Parts: sequence; structure tokens; C-alpha cells
Amino acid sequence: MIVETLARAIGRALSRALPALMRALGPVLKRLMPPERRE
Amino acid sequence: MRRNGVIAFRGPAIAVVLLALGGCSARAPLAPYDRSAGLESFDASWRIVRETYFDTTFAGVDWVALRDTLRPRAERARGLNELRGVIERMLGRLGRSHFMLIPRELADTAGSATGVVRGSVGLDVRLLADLLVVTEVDAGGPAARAGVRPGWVLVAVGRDSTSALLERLRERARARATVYRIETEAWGTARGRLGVPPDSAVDAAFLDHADRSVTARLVADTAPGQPVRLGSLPTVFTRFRAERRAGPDGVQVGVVRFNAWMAPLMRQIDAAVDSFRSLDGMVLDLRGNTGGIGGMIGGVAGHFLERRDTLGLMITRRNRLALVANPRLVSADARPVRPFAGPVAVLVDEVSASASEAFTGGMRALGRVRVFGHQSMGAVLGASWDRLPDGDLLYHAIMAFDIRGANLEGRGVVPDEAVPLTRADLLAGRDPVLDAALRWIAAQPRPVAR
Repeated sequence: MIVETLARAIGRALSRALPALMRALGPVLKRLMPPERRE
Repeated sequence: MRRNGVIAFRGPAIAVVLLALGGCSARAPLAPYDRSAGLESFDASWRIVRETYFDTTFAGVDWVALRDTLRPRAERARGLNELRGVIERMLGRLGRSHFMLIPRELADTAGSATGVVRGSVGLDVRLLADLLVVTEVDAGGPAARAGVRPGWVLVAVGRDSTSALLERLRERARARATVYRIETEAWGTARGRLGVPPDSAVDAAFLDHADRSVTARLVADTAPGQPVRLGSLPTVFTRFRAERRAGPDGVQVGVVRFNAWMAPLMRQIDAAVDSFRSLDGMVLDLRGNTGGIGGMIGGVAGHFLERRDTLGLMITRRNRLALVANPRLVSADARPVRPFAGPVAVLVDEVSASASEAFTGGMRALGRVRVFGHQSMGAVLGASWDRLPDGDLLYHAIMAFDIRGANLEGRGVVPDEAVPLTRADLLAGRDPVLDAALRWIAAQPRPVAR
């Protein structure tokens, strides 16, 4: 039987969720940056 | 292996087991053989097993000496298949289930919707009285369209007669070159031969119900079932069926059948249990179920247990972890329920493996199920996988599973009621194993109030 370790399951979930999370957080992070560092 | 311009995987039966890869294909061309990556993969395979195999005695195999013997052969390998052969030989020396090398062509499925494509000619076989007999024909599938029926005898596949194939398996068994009993190996071999990619043809010869010779050219369809992917492992095609059956004395029984323990099936199993809660008994038909996610068996077991209990001990090199089942007290639609308390029968056969055996063995040890059918495969270890430097996946055992101090690896679950399946039953459309389970359920006391 396949043994899924917690670390691997979390890694897998994160790798799926991370791109969407970064897209969502991008505008927020941009606003938090000092104006001179914004692109 | 290259056939028809696609890569098809047809390893020995040990590789077909558990993930049931037969008939997989991937249409990516292979890069030229990279000798140094190949040797690195040999070394990595050896090291991973040395570091993670649960049995530090390696059951008497001198793991260092084995590397020293085989490494020069890995070094001399002139191609990928040869290298894979050397690694598989090393893994095979442990004589355990749950070791296989999964070709990168089947593992590299990222980006595609279903991963690899699997073909199916729509029939399954078992070894019955020294004959490979058709036990199931998919409705509307290639075999059904060719007129093949359960109970027909498969006498040849391609250019090979099945009697010659079986003789080869017997030789392997005599030489102790196999982990499994012959009935499991026979299924695996037939599955490998019949498991061609979609649109590829297999010429098969049969004896029909009246022992007349019938030949058929079976062109594979895409395998039926829902594709399920787990990490970089090859796609598993899951099949599920739940039906209500009437048994002797008007007994009403819910029969649930599924071919793999994969998480997306959990919702269907939960819904089926919900719909059968008021019936007199349930049958879990795990015949042909080669296993899957170990963690799922506790969830299914919880439908049938009144109190928290342990199905078995998962023993890795460093830890011992109890596989616990908690009673399931909420239905799929969030109503409070009691776990099903009526009689539960489990059906197994020589293809029931791994998680299916852990579930069945664990539940029987708790006295909660009665087991019917044929002794199961005896492939009861926990496994994980790692990517090798050349891209192949090493699927390897990291865990033993003990049920009250006993271990089913190499033995399997011996049914409480061994029910032989015969060709005559299949020709007559009977299922003696299910019938025995229904009879047993009918003989159990009915609950006074529901």
C-alpha cells in the first residue's frame, strides 16, 4: 500500500496552492512596498 | 519496451501488481541512453533501499555484496532497458512485494490531464484448474463486441499459447524466481499480454462454451474508469460499483465493489454505505482490488466499527505506528449516524493485494468481517517512491504491516470460507463467492429494530 508521508502531502498541497496564493497576494504586497521599489 | 511507436511497459508480474500498470503507454520519445545518469540511478536505488528498507537484516541478503556484484553490470549496460534490468534484479533479490522501477515514460505525466493513457481489451482472467479462464467481460468493450463471454478459456495471446506461458511460470516458481503464487503470476502475465495501448490490436484465441476454437482480433479501447493521479505515480483508473442485492430468505444486502484504494473513491464509498445503512448486511467485493492508499482503510473500516480500534501496526525502520480506525458517526450529508452494525462479508481473490489485504486482515482480526473467496495475493507492505537521477521512479517498501504480531506478506488472507470459482459457474452466469456471502448474511440474526 502506498504510504503518504505528511511532509510529502503538505509539499504536494503547497505546490498546487502556491501559484494561486502568489497571484492573490501580489497586488497586496505591491501596495505594501515603498513607492520607489514598485515597478 | 517499444511497440507500435509507443512506449509500453510490460515488466514481470511483480511490476504489474499494486499499481496495475499493464497497458500503459506514453507517447514521449526517449532520449538517448545517458550512461552516467544510469549508473547514478543504480547507486541511488541501492542507497535508498539501504537507508529506508524496514528490515535492517535484509532477510539474509548481503546488500553490500549484491551491489558489488551488480554494479559492474550496471556500468556496462548499453541501454536503458539493460540498466533497468540490473536494478530490477537487485530489487528482486529481496524477494518482497512493493519493489518496482517505474519507467519515466509512465511517471512523467505532469501537464497532461490524465497522465498516461491506458488501453483495455475489456476482459479479465483467472487461473482455474490450470486454465486461464475469462472471468469478466466489460459490457460494450472490445471483448464483448467480439462475442467473448465469461467462462471461455484463453488459449493463446499473440503467438504464445497460454499453456506455454503457464509452463514458463511454473519453471520460475520452481526456481523460486517469483514472489507470488502461480495463480497471481498467471493473472499478471495475461494482463501484461492483453494490456496493449489504445487502438493497438491483440490476437487472442479462445475455447468457447462448447470448447470450439474461436479467434478474435481485439483492438483496445481507452481503459474504462476514472483516472486518478497521485504525485508522479502513473495514473490509476478507478472503477466503482454499488448495488442492492436480494439474498436467500429475502435478505437485502448492499454490495460495494471497487478496484483500488484511491482517495477520490471515498465519497462514493461513503454515499454507498449511507444508502445501504438500513439493509440486513453489506458485502465489500475486493476481488481484483490491487490496493492503493493505506491511510484510506481506516476511514472505510470506521463505517463498520462501534468503537475506535486498531487494524494493525505499521512498522518502519524507526517507528511503530498504529493504523487506527475511528467510528464514522456522520453521514456524507452531515447527519449523525451510527456505524453499520449488521454482518459484513469481504470477498477476496488472488489479485486482492496490499491495502485490500491490510483492510481485510485487520477487520477479520477484530472479528468484524467474514472473508469469502480465494487466498489473497500476499503483498502486504507499505511503500513510497523516489525520483532517480535518470528520471525513473523507484517504488520501494518502507514498512511492514503486522496484525497481532502476524504478517501477511508472502501469505495473504486465507478466507474463512474458501469458495472455488469454476468455469461451469462462469458459463452459467453464477457468482458462487457472492452467493456464499449472501447465504451467510441470511443466516445471521436480523437486528430487532432499525
